[in-house]
Amino acid sequence: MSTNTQYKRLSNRYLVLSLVVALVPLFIFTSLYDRYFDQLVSKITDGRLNTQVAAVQNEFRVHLRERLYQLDVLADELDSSEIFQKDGKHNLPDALQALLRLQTDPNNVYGIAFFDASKRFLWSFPEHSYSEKRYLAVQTYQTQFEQADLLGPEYFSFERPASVLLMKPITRLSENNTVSYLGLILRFNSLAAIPKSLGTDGIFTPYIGVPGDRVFDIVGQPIQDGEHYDQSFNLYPNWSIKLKQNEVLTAAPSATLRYWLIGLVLLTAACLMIIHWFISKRLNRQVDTLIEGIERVASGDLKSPVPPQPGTEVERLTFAIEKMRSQLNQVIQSNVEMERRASLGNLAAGLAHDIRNPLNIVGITTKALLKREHNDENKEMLSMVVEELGRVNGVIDNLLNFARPTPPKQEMFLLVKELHLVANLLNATVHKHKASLTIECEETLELFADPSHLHQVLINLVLNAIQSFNGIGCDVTIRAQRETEHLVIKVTDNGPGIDPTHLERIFEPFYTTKPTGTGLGLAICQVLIQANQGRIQIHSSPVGTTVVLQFPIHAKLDDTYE
Amino acid sequence: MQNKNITLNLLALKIYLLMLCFFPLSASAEIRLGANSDDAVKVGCLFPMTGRGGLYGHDSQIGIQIALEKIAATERYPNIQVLIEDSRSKASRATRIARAFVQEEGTRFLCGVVNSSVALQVAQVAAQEEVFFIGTDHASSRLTEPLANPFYFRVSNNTKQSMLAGANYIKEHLLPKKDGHPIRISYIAPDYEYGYSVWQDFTGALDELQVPYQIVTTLWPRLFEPNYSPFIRALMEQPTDLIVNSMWGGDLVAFIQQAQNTPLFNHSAFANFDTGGNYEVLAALGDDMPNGLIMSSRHHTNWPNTELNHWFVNRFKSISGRYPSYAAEGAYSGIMAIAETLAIAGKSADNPAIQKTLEQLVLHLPEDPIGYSSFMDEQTHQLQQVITIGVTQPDPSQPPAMKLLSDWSVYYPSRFSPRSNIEH
Repeated sequence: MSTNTQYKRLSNRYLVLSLVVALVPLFIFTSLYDRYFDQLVSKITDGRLNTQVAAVQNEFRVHLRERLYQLDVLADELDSSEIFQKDGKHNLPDALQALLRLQTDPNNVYGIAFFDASKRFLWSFPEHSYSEKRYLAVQTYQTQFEQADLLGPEYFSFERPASVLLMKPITRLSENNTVSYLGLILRFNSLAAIPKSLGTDGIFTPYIGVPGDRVFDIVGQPIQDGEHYDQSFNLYPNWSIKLKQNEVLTAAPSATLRYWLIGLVLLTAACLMIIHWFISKRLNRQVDTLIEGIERVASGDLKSPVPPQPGTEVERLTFAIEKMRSQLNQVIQSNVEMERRASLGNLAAGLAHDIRNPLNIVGITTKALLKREHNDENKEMLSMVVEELGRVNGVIDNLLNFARPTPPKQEMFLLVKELHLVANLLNATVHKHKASLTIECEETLELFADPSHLHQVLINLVLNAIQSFNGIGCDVTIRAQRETEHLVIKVTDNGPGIDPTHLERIFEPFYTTKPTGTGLGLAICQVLIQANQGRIQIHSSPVGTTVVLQFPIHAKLDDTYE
Repeated sequence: MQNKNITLNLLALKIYLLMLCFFPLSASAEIRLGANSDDAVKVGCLFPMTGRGGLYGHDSQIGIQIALEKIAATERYPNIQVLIEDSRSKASRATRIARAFVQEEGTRFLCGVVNSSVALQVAQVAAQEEVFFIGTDHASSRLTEPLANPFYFRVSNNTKQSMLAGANYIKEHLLPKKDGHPIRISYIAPDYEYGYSVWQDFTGALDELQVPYQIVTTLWPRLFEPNYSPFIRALMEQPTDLIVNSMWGGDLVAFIQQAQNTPLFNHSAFANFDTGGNYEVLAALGDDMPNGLIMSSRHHTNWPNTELNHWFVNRFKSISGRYPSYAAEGAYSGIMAIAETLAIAGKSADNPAIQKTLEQLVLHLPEDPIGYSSFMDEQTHQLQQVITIGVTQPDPSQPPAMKLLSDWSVYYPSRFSPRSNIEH
């Protein structure tokens, strides 16, 4: 439990550490990028703006100053009181008419207006370019520009574009410094278009604020009241440049992109945490299972396998531990078996020695008595004694075989030949029990083993099969075949099978279900097969039993040489 | 530094003005066409021969040349000599030239003038000098309605006629799509007399025909504006059903070229009822001219399908190697009107006789369909002609124009319909 807790602590630490390693640079990058983006926006929006606004302010000034100079030129030429009368247009000489036409040719001047000393409108050139009504309408929109009055712009109308009146007093030196007023009727749209350059990069939309708290766009359209402007720069009293920041950088799509970026980083962080959490959980689960298996082994349960975890990170580790458990189990079992066998061998050898000598004496004596005995009844009884002594000797031989098996004399031999030999040896018994024995083996199949051991094992197995079959008609098949790396001999019968409870202990010495059995047959078989580097397994079902003998295939010397 | 520049400019301006006072513009015309005999009647014509409007002057010159060929080949017409000067579309220059034509060359007739503002001032000079001014290509209705100048006659359609036809077109073709709602109209026009009078005439015509409409905006770019993008943006900012444009020549070409790269022509229908269908515009735009624009012109190279129109267009092409803008037919009409008047009234007729003859003038011109002849309205001194409105469609038959007008809607003037000034 404490190990588990520790491990969990470790995985949590791993989780936190990996999150820190992954997310800290990501957050730093994101914050740096965000800051860069902010600075970029500020740089674009504010950096050049002041310069551009100053240029536009100057352009306004220059535009109006040029118009003032235009007025000065006209004032020099229009130095006659006759012109500054209600019917002044009729007193205008042709040369001055030409001059006025020249002055109104540029697109940004609609005309020239004449006023008396009281600033009353007299007339305009061209004739319909201005009127008293229009002049009176702009009286409330008056601003001072240097030495001149700037009146307007007029109310917006769909009928025609608005104008601005630039009006300046002129003093006629030739007529005792009489003052009159001369005005240029300016195209307002030319003024409104001057801030156009502030909108060319698409970040701001420029507007022009004019007297009367009115705002127009750069093509002279009025903007409704209540609009919000991000920045405002004064031009003259009541005249200003107003800027509205476009949503190009502060909103969709750029700002959305920014928020998407931040969202993506947070999502990445969340995903990383979830992934780390899942991985940790999974690792914990796998390691917990592994630990449970190891703990079982540690507590002495070598038989329960460590559950395999295929496809997981600990698959190889689990496999290695399971292999270790299996080998450990085998070693321990083997040691126990060896010790048991050694003990049994010692016991059997002692017993055999102690029993066999008296038995031999009894045997020899009995055989001597048998030869001298003429009474048939006694002869028969003595023969039975000799026979039973032979049986006891057989039991002792078996016991010695199990305890101290003879070392195998392995050789390469043709298997089919040996199998047929075994069949011949068993022929009488098979016939007696009305059973059948079938041999299935390729002619060329060779086995490297001790043939006598193989005879003993196969005879034992076939006899076991016949004896286990209570009725008539036992079919036994010895089938030999080559598999990938082994030569396999299967002894199969169609008997009633072995009870699973017996199957577990079937190779234990002295374990038998037969009333007269010694319980050493299969134990000896196992010993002999193992002595020939083979393995013996029994698979049983209610419809038959198969004993599988598995021998390693040894390369032939000739093949090796080649 | 800037003040210094301004001072220098001012000095140059003053020198120029002094030169104008002491050395008035010479009356020796740049171009003299027609009869060179002493008995020839002199006509002084003013056209822009340079700048954006230069093509109008050159086409007018060829139109005049064709008219003079016809006059020379017709016995009843007197000898006519035409003097042509470059007005540069400036009122100051045009009025000086007009005065010089009369005072130094002894012309009895002035003709031409493309710009309506310039025409207003030339008309004043004509009245002062008591010579007849036959207007050809300017269209502001302020010159003729009401008529304030007995010496002024115009031989091409004015804006009132074009706009009445336009309003009829809207009523017939666009209004039915509105399901009883007023049609939303945006208007863009050059910021000078012509633009104002077109708007006034257009709204007047809509009112007269009782077309329900709602004004979205009116925009007034200056003449020869190089950058229309703020105006195009402003037009697209508000939903509208029809954009009425009354630019002409290079301005219209520049506007369409700049709008072509924007969704403006998908934003709403687009119409130019006075000059948009001018061949000059169609040729300049070539494949860039969008399909489906509603256009008209004072003369079409592909309508009417009459012998006289074919002759005029082909003759022009054989002289110049290209198709004529409407200015050519306007100038042709002006000179033919003078010749016809002199043929009827006599070369030595006094001003009242000439005025009377002009007031009752009937002329068969290339733009007249079969069975119709243009006639002068006595009250307004405005020639009454048929107006046709078409829609731009691919037609490479008159290159370099790749789109020509078709799907014509034809509107006749009032002689045949006392109920209204124009009938379909």
